[in-house]
Amino acid sequence: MVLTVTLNPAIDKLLILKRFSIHKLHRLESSEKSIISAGGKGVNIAINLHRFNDEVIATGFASGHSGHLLCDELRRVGVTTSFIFTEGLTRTNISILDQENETLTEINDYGHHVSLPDQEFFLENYERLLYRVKTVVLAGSLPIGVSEDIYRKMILMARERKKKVIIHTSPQHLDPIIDSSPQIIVPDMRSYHQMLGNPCDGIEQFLHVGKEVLVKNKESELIIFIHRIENVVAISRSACYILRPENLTIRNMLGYADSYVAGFLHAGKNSLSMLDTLIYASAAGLTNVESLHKELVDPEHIEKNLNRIKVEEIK
Amino acid sequence: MRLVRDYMHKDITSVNEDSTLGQVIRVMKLHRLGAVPIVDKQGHCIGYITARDVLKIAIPDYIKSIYNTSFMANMDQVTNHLKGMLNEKAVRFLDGEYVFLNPTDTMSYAADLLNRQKRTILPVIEDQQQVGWITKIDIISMALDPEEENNDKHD
Repeated sequence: MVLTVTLNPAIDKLLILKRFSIHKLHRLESSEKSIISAGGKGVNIAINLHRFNDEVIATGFASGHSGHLLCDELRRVGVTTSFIFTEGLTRTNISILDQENETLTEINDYGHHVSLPDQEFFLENYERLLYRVKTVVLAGSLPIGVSEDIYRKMILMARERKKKVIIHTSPQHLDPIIDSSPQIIVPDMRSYHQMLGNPCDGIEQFLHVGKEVLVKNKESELIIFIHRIENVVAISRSACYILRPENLTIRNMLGYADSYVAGFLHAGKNSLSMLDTLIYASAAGLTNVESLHKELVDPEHIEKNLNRIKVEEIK
Repeated sequence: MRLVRDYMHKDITSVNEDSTLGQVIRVMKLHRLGAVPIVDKQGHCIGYITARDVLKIAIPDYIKSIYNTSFMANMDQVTNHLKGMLNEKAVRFLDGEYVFLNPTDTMSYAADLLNRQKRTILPVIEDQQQVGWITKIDIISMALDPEEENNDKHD
């Protein structure tokens, strides 16, 4: 059983348009689409994991009618929910996919304020949930009023109970808590190209920062920079790899990283070697970006894509 | 055979032994739940507190002794009485005789139990841990399921 934590979840509204232009009224045609779904990194990972028939509990903060919509949607697909409801309204994130120009415009709301008593209530609930699971995924941004320290507390609580922790968030939230040594670190580099005070973009810098993280944190096992699907860089204590998909045709990057993390968790559950796990995760990400949907629609297709992932080992 | 595990509402919201009555009421309101499990530190269910239990606590004994309370002009007696108890531990007011379902119980059994117990909602428990809920709506809405309708015809 996996526990996914999404402290700042969202309702995702995806508009798939033929063309998108500013200063223009768009009326959707029958060939265009408007899709509303439960979102936020941990929520997306939970939904993807359930596509693999893996058992998942999703937790985090939710509020108001959009919070109930979020939980209803998770349960509809089969995920167990244990969110803490607070005053306010769960945010809505809007993505506009322009098919003709192949552009994706994303507007993410900042979310609602979460009080300290609600954070304490959440941590009590989280502690109990740890007894039910083997792996914890901490993913995404933080709502207003919540500091990075909550991630540190959750990592330490999980590690104390011998649970595996995967954290997937931006360096802005990772840097302050990296010393709590989560086992697997997947930085979200979409908005920040710095980590631990170093510039961090491109293979050389990913390798440099990844090695520094492992030197400083004795319990961390693996750091994976997945931002550029063309060159996924994985740094472990025994080896460094670059994984590249062949003949990549991107249709929709939305949800790529969450599919990657879900693929990684699913492969790990099946006791694959570290390299095979990384290949499976890259194939899951590849399968996702070549489909229009933000979640994995056809997990069986991942197997067919495994041989399209080419691996380079860096000595 | 239609089983509880296939129809249950997979939500495991709970409060702990130290939670106050005020926290329980807040959880009921924000989570839109009519019943909340009280669990120990390992997540094992100790019992349930329902909105009906809270209402019982809310109404002072002297009012309960009066047969007809329709003359009461407002809710002050009830809310003031409850306000004075908001910081008390909810575990004090547990419904210790709360019945529950197993995921492998049939929906027919769930319907019968809900009816006999005069409940609108029943918890589903596995290994002493809450795994979901079954409500009366879950049971009656099965009649709208087209696949079940076809299955019934084959039966």
